[in-house]
Amino acid sequence: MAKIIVVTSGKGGVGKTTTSAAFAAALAMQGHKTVVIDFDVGLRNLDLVMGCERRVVYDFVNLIQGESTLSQTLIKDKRLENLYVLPASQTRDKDALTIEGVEKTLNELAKTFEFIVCDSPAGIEHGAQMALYFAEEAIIVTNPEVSSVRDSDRIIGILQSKSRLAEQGGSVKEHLLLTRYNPERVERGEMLSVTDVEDILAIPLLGVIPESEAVLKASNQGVPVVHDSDSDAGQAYADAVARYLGEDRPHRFLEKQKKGFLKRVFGG
Amino acid sequence: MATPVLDMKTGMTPLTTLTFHSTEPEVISADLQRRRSEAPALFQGLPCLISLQHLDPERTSLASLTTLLRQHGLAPVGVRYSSAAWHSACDALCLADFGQSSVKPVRQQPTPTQPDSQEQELQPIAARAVKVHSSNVRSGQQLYFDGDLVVMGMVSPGAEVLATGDIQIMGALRGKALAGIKGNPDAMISCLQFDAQLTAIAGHYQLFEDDHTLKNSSVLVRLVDDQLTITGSEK
Repeated sequence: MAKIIVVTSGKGGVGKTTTSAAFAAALAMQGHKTVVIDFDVGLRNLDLVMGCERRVVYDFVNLIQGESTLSQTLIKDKRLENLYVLPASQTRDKDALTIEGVEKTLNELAKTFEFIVCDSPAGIEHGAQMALYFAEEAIIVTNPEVSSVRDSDRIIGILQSKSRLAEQGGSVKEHLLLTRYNPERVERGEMLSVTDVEDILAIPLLGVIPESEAVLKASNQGVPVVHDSDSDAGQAYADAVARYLGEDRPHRFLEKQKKGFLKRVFGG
Repeated sequence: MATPVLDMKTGMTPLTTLTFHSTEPEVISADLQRRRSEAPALFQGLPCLISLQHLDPERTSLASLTTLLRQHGLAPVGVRYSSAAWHSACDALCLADFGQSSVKPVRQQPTPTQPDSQEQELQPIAARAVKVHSSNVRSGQQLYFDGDLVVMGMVSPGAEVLATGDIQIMGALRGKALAGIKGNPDAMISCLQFDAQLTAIAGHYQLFEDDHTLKNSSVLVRLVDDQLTITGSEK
């Protein structure tokens, strides 16, 4: 049985697409057959971050409207055997997504995939609600910043009232993923700490992704950041996915990196 | 286009209603004098309504009562619970009729200066309905209940909890809590960690723009003499 995971945040620009790409890639690396769906119809980005934008022929809206089949629409990842991308349409708008259409697609995907990762658009309107409606688990991407935390709180409220599971009396399992974390700025009091965010949102912490140059580089190159196993962000995402799959890994990158002797002498 | 000569706006303006338990001018005057000395600024020019509920048009002169109130700085503007027998007096004094609409219930407590209030029949206290909300109230969510409300979690910033009775929050209050919203002045708000944006009881509200001295403590919010009072629990 496939697990449907929504990656959502409310606020834009906090790292939903980066997280969706990295998370799906890391799941596939661990041997799980995974598909990642771009729900951001009209502002599609996932294909860029996944490096498959030139291979998009049909999209999610074509599929929902019966203009293409699933095998025509799914794009197989170049690097990972188990990873597929379902791209969004760039020319349509979010109203093209219907509950029935999304459900039909998810049911079909559930036959062959273990994990279905839904990359939600920003906001709390139709597009975001479509992305989260069928979710069983949610990754709440939050930046250590008050407005992001507030929006995450709002989206958790929507998950708890407007998802299908909530309507049936159940609940969506929530995971907090703190991205763009900078321990030095936390120490200077310019950024909320992990504890602050955990205290306000009161959901279990899945991982902390440090602010890293590797993320921007990875996005521009169209390679999910987990492939960059030397980078701190890549390692942090790998840790988060391992934790998600049940492994017990300590949280890293929460403290300021102490500069070594050579770095202090020669700068770095 | 010509500028309108007149703008008419309807709004909710709080008005004080005076209910008399004695008709003796001396007794009323003494009581007003005592209250005025407690809060002279509040009394000066305070618009108020006269409740005619317990007054007898045969025995009480509305004109002298109005004069007495004016002498103490009050500004009577109208009457409540009026009947046909009062109409001519009200018209003569230009007092508006505010109808029979409900007034905040008078708290059932004996006042030593008003011995006759002891004789009032104490109303039986009806048990209020209680609702237990078993999770957090998130930003953007609003929870309303006609009765007492217990939240088994926190109230996030941007969330609102409203009840006609008491509100009890078994966690942090970071949003807004409004108790006694139908005018019950005895309603209370309690929470384990206080960091509210706003608290209100029976329409008396307070905003907390800056950190309160009791931030993050367990507190009880009550209305004492129409003042919102926040008390921390003993450490």
